[in-house]
Amino acid sequence: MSLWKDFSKGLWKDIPPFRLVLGLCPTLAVTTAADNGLAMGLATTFVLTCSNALVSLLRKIIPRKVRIASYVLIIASFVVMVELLMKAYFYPFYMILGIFIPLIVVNCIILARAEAFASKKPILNSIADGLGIGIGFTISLTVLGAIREILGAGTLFSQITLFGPDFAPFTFFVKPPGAFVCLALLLGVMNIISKGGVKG
Amino acid sequence: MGDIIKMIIVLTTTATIIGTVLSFMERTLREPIEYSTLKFVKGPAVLSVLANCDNDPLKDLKDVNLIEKSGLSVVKRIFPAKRNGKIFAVAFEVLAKGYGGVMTIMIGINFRTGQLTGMRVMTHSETPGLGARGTEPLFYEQFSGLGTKDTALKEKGGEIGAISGATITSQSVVESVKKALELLTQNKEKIIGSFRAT
Repeated sequence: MSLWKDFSKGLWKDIPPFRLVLGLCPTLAVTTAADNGLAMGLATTFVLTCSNALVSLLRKIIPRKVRIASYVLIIASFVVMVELLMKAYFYPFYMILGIFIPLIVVNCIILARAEAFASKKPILNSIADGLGIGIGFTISLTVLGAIREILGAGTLFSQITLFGPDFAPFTFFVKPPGAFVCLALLLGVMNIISKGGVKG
Repeated sequence: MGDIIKMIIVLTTTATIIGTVLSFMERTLREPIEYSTLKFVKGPAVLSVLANCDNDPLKDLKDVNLIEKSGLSVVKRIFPAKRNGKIFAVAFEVLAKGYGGVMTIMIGINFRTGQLTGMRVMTHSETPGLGARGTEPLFYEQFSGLGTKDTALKEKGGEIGAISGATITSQSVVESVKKALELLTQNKEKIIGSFRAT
């Protein structure tokens, strides 16, 4: 139950979307470039951490029968907050992520952590859990986005062009089918590395 | 019974507090949001429909009271294009009813010639491949240089070819632009006057 353990498990053992196979929809949709994945990951981390904190704070007050409704209410409020903040200070990313920002509300990771962890554990642990899983998710999205971007467009973080003008980008990778393939390959690699299976 | 009361109280209180906090946040962030939207959405559109001016239309913007044909007055945000301190064209935002919702459009009008200097679709909820093609040069470039008479679809005697498969959107856009052109031309003196005051 140590704080460090609650935080670090999100970085490998329970990393979404590879070990905690949740939140696949935004993963596939926004990882067309490394910076898009990074922006989405950070927005999700903000919502996840805040909602874990608030759910944990109110865990003794929320009646069991309306707990899901309450969690969604709390998650939605932080999503609105992050959307307003992005519109005000990070408009280019707001334009790129578009409809996937409000869709953070239905990102299974956040609801799952609220139900499975934050509703049962103290605030500090819940915050650690949220931060760990959020940062793990951000790393996954950024790496996946980088791979898809490098192979599919030849750039990185939409800024650096990596290859010369003769490079023929493998555009398959920046399209949806390429997303699935790339995700599967990364998942396979992770499985080999950890010599384990997918967390049930 | 007590259960139900507790559920109602918790949900209602939470929702009320959240609603209050969020509306306060929205109010506080309204200015930065307006500035960002101006910088990234409207700004580029304004600058692309107004060419060859020696001022910054975004800095010189003014909200002017315009009088419609019906006599009603409406406030419009006008971006001026000046040369040697004299206004020769303006840009302002027009709303059109698209197939999927409201479309925001920026048009530029040259006062000397009474013609459109350009049109750009800024935001929309149209179908990709159909109404969304309003954002393509093939569609919007048709508007440059048109006067009130020619701002109509080809089928109705004008100069504009509709987007294939998106006649409703095309018609709506053209009508809104035409109305805006008329409104601007009618209020030409008023607008020039407002900017001369500075």
